[in-house]
Amino acid sequence: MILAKRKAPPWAYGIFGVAAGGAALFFALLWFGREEMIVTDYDIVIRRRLWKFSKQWRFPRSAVTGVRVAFSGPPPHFGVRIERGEERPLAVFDGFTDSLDAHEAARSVLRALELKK
Amino acid sequence: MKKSFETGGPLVFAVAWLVLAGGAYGRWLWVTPFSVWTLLVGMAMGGGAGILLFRAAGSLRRQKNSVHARVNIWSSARPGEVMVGVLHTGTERRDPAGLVLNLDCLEQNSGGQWLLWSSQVCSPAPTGPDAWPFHFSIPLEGPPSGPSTDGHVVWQLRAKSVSLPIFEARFDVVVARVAGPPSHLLPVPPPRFGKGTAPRRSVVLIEQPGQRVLRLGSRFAFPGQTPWWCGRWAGWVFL
Repeated sequence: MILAKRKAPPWAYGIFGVAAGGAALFFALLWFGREEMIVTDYDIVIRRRLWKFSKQWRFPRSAVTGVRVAFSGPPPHFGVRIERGEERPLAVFDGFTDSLDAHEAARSVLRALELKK
Repeated sequence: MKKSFETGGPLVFAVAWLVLAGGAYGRWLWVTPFSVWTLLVGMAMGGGAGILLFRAAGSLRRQKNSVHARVNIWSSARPGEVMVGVLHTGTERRDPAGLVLNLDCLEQNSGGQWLLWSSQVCSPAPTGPDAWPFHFSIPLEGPPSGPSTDGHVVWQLRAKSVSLPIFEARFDVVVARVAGPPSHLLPVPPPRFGKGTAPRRSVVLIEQPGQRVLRLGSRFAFPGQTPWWCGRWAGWVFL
């Protein structure tokens, strides 16, 4: 058997680098991205943001039918659900282990959406 | 919230046992000569009566201690939502094993009383001198309080101290189904259930011209005061 030193073609380094960078960006967004909700006069933008990078979803403000606190996993894990009628919720701010924190967050969401009477 | 007690069930059992078992034993003694066997049966009968009377005495003590009990429901008790509340026992005596609470959904119709659904939670420690917080998740399919297709639906909260005969009470709870979108949440913040070591979530609201930004954050919570060497950035590192 002849063992020979092999060298990858230069374009392979480029492709591998781009793929690794994309994967790193994906996982960085997934793990370290901050969840944000931006409320403007007409629509609501839900986004996961890390520095300059973000992945966002846009909804009309009229899509929101209510906000409620519910279990978002095995208790004690509460989530603030921004409801969209019968469809899946528009966003869930989850991971609250303290019920008071979850309800305070829900009140902040209501204030931001101007749903509170 | 209205409070009601057990209807002396343990005492009724004890008296019924004494009358029925005692009567049968007396009748048996009347027709049978006294022997070791009859003595053993008599001791078993007397022991059973003693256990029942002991249970009845414990229950009466619990109920006597619970005269000033009241419950404060903080959330809207609606099917599909979390019912959060505080139980004020009215006594500062505390059971180290905590309180056990049951939320029962009963239907009363011509056939009797039927238990449709029940859930049990434990409130391990009080947050005040007599304040025991609890929460239940009410099922979405739960029927609302009031008249149903066949009878009358009642929701009840039962609470009892686990190990010591300190507390026992029962409260009527109203579960209402309201048509329309989910409720706009709670009139007042509910109690907290204690401190954990997990990073606590929070929401930050930032007002900017033309828009409001709501950011989900987290921070560490320590059992006591947060150490000085954990700056504001400490919770930022992790999700």
